[in-house]
Amino acid sequence: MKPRDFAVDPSYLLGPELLGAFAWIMGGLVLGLWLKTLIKNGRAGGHLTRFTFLDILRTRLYWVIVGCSLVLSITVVLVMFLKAYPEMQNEGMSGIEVVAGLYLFSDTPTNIPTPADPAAQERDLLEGVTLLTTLILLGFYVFFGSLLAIFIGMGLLANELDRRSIYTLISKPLDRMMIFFGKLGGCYLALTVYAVLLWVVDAGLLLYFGIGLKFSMLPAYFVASIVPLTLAALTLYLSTIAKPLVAGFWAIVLMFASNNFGTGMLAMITKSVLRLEDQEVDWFFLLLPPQRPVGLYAVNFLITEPLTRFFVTRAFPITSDPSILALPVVYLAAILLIAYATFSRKEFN
Amino acid sequence: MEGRAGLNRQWNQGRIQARGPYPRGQLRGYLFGALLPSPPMPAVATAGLVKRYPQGLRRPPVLALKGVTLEIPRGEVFSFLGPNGSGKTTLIKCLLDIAKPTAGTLSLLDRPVSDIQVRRQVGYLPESPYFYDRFTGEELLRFYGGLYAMNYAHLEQRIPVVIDEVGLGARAAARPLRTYSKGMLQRIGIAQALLAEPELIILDEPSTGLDPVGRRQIKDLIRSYHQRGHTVFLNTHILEDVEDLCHRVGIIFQGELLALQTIEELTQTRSAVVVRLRNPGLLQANPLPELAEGIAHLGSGRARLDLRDGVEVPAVVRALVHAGAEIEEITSQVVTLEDRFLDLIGEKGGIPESVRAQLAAGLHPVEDPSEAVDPAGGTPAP
Repeated sequence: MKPRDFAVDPSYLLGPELLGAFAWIMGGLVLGLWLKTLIKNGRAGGHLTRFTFLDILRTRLYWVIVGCSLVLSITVVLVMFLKAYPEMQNEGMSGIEVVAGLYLFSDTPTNIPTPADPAAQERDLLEGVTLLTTLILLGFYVFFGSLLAIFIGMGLLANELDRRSIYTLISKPLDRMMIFFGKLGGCYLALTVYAVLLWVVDAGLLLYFGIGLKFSMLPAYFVASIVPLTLAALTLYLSTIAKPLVAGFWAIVLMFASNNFGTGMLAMITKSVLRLEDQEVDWFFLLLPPQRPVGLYAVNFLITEPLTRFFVTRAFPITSDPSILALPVVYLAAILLIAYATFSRKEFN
Repeated sequence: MEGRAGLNRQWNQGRIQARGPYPRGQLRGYLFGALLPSPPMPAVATAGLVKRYPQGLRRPPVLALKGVTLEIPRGEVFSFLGPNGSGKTTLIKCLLDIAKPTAGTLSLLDRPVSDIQVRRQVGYLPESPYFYDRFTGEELLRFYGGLYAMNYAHLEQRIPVVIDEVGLGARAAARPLRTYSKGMLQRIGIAQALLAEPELIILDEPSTGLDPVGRRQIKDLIRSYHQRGHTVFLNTHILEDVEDLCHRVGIIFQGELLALQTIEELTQTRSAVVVRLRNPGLLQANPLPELAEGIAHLGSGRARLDLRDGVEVPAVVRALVHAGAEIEEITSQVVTLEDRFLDLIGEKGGIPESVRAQLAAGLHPVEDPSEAVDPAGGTPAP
């Protein structure tokens, strides 16, 4: 089987320089807008963020989703390893084979030499277990975090509009956009709590396996949080112009369309419709919101061993070029700029 | 010597007027402040305010405000009266930048309404307020106080004060809002409007959901804030409250400001008589211009004659008989705010004919006109 060229480059779309410049401009605009709003509103903006955060933590749905995902993640990891680990040892599997076989459903990294020394083999296997556990939990964060962001985002402003409590909010010395940013900030804090809880679960599992604490996954979570944040901003904005259920529906459609499975399906359909069977359509993966580019980059933080990196990159598309994150930044910035243009002028009747 | 903050406080309490280089002084104040007293800036000023709500492509837009020009001086209790859908809440929404006016100008405390800083001096209670029900009353007040960027110590000091002022009680304030009754929600809503001791307090239907004791408490509270120099803008349907509390009243109907007068100007202590004649043609125009200032047609052949000062009913009866009137019914009446309100609205066709006739007869409107009873023993009102 011919190994694919996994160095997915955003230049497929616009060229790295143009895309980078675009991302800088958009990101700069949003940052400037955010700073301006923050300065204009002072402490009140932070207060709204804190209040929104506390309000989210008091919702039952938040803890139901978080609780379910934590239980599910622990169950998946434990069942996988408690049942499979002795067999892996008996069959002399390498760590990377574990990752490839169980997470990537791939048989690409075959013929990898297994350390002859049983202690070294054990270490190698544990390395694979660590990577796989973290990959699974990161996958949970992106999936459940996105769902959480959509469910929270659906209600945050829509409920204010529906119950007309937005009138009271607007009558306070608070900029319109600060209301939007404040709500989004509260939502992001709630997602951060979820990320921290997943990290605690991850750390607990790794301690249980006798591997020890790993802090390297925290930046991975930070990068991955662009996905739920973008979906939260999108849902929050859509809920100001449409019914919350409609907003949530479209956000979920985009969420599924932009993950590996969804974009893979769309790419396949596009290929067959446009008769592009012979052509590379990786650029397609960059057209929808940012799950894939974020995934390509976030994995970097999880792989610290050069050898593991070498083998993982043979089975899993990965890039260490941070310019791949330009596209997610552009998506997020575009949503926030559109929200600024419309929400700050919106009439509440 | 008092600093700028002290002057600000005094200004907010209405103890000083705009004369010189005070916080809100303008160039005029800086240049001539020592020599010329400038008039106090109004708390609310609108000029030619128009608000049009588009209704889609096929339907004509709804004109909610038709060139409303209004000025409310600082320190006044002002009320806006009008039937449902007459544009009262729309005006408040425009004042608070919740809705954008189609045309015209408006300012709050001499600043444009889009300036968020001006809202530090505005407290607002919306109609039928809803608040975050997962929070307790105290937490809610802490939240809104935070949005005003109130000093933490001051906020903690103010919360029990306003809770007490609105008659909520410390125990109730510690309960989640989802357990509150409608009246309690109204009280916490009023509390959040008063929390920052704003210079301008806008209350939209503050008595909704309150029992008679609560209504009385809120009336006393409004009076007390007025005495402390706050301006109060009241939107209410309860005319009795308006008569008790307000200095001036604006009557609005279908987006048009019909009257903007003091209560005294509107009601005037003169009397009136309601008459019904067998020969109603005589009432087409004012039959007694020397005794009555004007005539208002109330429907069902009835008309009200607004008498000139000192004119008594027997003199009117004599003059009517002398003019050839065949009197079927005559009742003496003192003009109340309600009468004036109904007159003004009635003239614009805002009251159904049957209701007008019943009101003129001193009856409450009834669903079935045949149930109306004529006290004079005449035929039932149509």
